[in-house]
Amino acid sequence: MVNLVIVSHSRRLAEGVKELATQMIFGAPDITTDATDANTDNTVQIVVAAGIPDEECDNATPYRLGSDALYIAQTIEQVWTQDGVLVLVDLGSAVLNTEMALDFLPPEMAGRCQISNAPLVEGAITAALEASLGHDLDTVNQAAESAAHIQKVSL
Amino acid sequence: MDQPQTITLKINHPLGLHLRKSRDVVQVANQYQALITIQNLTRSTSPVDAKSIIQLVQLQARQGHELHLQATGPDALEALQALASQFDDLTSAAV
Repeated sequence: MVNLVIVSHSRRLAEGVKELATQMIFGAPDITTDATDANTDNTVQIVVAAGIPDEECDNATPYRLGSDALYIAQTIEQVWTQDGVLVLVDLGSAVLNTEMALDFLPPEMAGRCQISNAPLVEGAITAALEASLGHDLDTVNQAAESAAHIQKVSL
Repeated sequence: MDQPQTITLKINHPLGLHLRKSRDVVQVANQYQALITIQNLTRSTSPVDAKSIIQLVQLQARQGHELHLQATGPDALEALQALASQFDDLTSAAV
């Protein structure tokens, strides 16, 4: 099953996206909060690699705003399987750092990861549902990316 | 060639075809081989694939809208029955 990694500058934004996307998973979702607890093969794992880990920052969480390539790479590794990992990103340096994170990974691992061009919220919701249906990485990403073209308000 | 099965129903739920219900519809639809499309008659949309959440969202089905479901394939009848029951709580009288 394809697993998802949410990359954002903001920890809280990513946690919220994860919360929403988790609702779309097939069956009664009981998604683990930490990648370390995630060990099942039959449910989609959604994990967050958001913000820059910083124990000393003056924030509600020990992460400050930003993105960190090494942290993203480690998070991808935690949920990586042969089925692949789809990485959903917000903007700018989150994209650059995710690209760098894939360079840190062994090529055989990076080869089964895709950075999605999808909008973060719509993409995560779509990808979570598609992945939970057992679809492959390309299918999941195509569905997520098609979310870029939806019309929210009728003309 | 299998005869298409169709059903038309009206959304009475105040939130329309909301996201969680769309999820359930997609998950049920994906359990069948049949080609299943849904069309919003009220908005005169083209038929969209019931197996795709993004396409369902684009129906923009609100309260009072009529949806037309069509299924074609060996398990079309079963698929439509299962889908119709998904819509039960959206089509019952509005509270």
